[in-house]
Amino acid sequence: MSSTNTKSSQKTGRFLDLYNWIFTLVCFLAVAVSICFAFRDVRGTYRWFSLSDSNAVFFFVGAMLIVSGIFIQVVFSLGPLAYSQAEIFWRFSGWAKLPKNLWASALTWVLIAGWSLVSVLLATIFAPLSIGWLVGTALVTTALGVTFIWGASGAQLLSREKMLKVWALASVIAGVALTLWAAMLPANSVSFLAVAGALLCSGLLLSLILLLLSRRSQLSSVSATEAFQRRSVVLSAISNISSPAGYKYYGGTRRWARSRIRSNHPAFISLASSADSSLTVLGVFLFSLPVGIFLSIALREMGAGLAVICGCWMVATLNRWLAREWIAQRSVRAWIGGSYLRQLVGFALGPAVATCLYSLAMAFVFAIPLHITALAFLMGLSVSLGDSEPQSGIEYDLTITTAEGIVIPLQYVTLVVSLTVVLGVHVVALLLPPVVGVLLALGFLVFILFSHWRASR
Amino acid sequence: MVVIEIRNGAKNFQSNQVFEKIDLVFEPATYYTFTGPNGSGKSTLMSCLLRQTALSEGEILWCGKDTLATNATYAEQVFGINDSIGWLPGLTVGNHLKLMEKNSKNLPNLLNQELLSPEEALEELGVPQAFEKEPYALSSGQEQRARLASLLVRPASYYFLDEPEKRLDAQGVEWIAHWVQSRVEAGAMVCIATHDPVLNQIPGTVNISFPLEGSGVEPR
Repeated sequence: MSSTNTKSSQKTGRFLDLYNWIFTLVCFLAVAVSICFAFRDVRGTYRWFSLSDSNAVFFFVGAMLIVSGIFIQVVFSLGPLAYSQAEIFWRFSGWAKLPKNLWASALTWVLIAGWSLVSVLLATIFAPLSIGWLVGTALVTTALGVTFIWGASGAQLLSREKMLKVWALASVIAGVALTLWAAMLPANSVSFLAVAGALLCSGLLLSLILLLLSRRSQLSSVSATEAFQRRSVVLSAISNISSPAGYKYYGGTRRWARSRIRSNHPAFISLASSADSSLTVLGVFLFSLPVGIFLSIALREMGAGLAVICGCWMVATLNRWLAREWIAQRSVRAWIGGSYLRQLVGFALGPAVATCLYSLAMAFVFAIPLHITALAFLMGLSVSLGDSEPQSGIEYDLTITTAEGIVIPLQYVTLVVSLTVVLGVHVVALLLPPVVGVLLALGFLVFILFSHWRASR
Repeated sequence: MVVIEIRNGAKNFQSNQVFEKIDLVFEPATYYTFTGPNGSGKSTLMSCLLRQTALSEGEILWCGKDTLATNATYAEQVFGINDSIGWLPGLTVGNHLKLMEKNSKNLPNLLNQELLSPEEALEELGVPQAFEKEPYALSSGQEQRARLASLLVRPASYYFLDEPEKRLDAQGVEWIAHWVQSRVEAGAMVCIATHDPVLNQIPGTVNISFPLEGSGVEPR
């Protein structure tokens, strides 16, 4: 009987793995194809800058430096890239040794895929419009990102945080200087290329050294533990999307934010929530900026609006762990004597402020009408609130099991439904007068708040 | 006289029926114990009474009205401890109890309970050092004692405690027995799910034996 169960669970596990892989692959390809479809006419004058072949190269190199510097910092602060949680768990259980092969870590592959996407976007925007140049640049930047990521993983294992931070900071400063300089110059200059190339090569070299050092060193459990404790809000948010156990708290470890979130006062909780949301907002902003440029070329105002709406949904979705944390803490906060609604307001305001900041920043860049911004903000708040499942409360189950014993992860269904609702309301808002769209989003938000109010009773 | 009443209560987790069609009444100034084998539904019923989870069917009445309609009063006067509560991450035991003390100032103290400060409560339980420590830094017995200290910080008239003697030494169990007697004498209702013979032999114990079918009350 037990062997039948084991076989069944193995079969289910394999099915789940396959499902996850296919879903991730399809999503990634869909995004990549959508962006590639918009690969046209990226030259032109934008609100804050203009792009022509004469300055595009320097913009590109500067942007690469800025993005790689930020990316490395984010990647390093993500925590255990080299080791997954499961690996650390088995290591400390004494039943398994951590793998020495950095290439075995699935998370790094996910990041490499993300980096490839960003590389292609940047190459498309900033590289001169020649297919050969474009493909070559995309490949080179992808390779660069891969090396950087392995370097960051190596640095984690060696606990060389300062070295990596200095390198990342230098990249950002150099990138900003180069971009500004290039923007002021009328024509190409070989010296810029030489400086930028030297910077990129030195970064590449450092990454390789770190990688080789870490591969030769004895992996210490200390650095693995440190990395595990450094697990940041971004990684928590990512794992919360994909994990049925995402309601558990794995959030930021910044002492200041933690000390505020301990309070029972909604103002302090929301302040801490906002602080913990800041990194995801920055990440989504950086990602959606080029997407917004593409879409605004293709669809004008509506395109930029769509980018903002999707970005708001992403910010809200990535910060859903705040509402889940609140759910996970409900019993203890009730025990302490805190009010349901006051605390809900506190936890929900974090994603709300994050969504608001994001939509305002995007509205500022793309000059989007305010009603779209308001709509995006309301929908983002609804998504983040809706995930806290007021009716089911603590029994937060994101999977269902069919009669055949196959486990279906509902988080993807939730993802599709919430995105459909967000886009649906947006489309209605564009087709109907602006006020109707905002009222629709407001109505949705009121409905969710009413559900919470009923649950609190 | 305010009573808590479960009428036609049932609870199931998908196909697993924990209990069904139960009718129970909890009266003030009475001491109840839940006893029975593991998995018979004691803790689940405790969770329902502490409103951490809802009944699948039936209702819990407070003054004859559904607790949904009397939410605030029920939450003010009913207090308890079980394993679902946990601790807030990064917070010391003292932080928890201070927050509780602050929130308790707005609660009615109907039985004129003499409340202690968090420091005094932890001293009373024999774990004064817990005030400055996070719960994970304590032994499991000390953690349980720190949890029990909350009973002295917050006023309440009705208590539901799920195996409070768990991980405690004999002195700790004696402390609970003494506390139960003093609270019941003061007019409070105390209900404990327990496997401990000492806590089942307190004079006046009304035992509710699990698994429940209808009314499982067996007065001793």
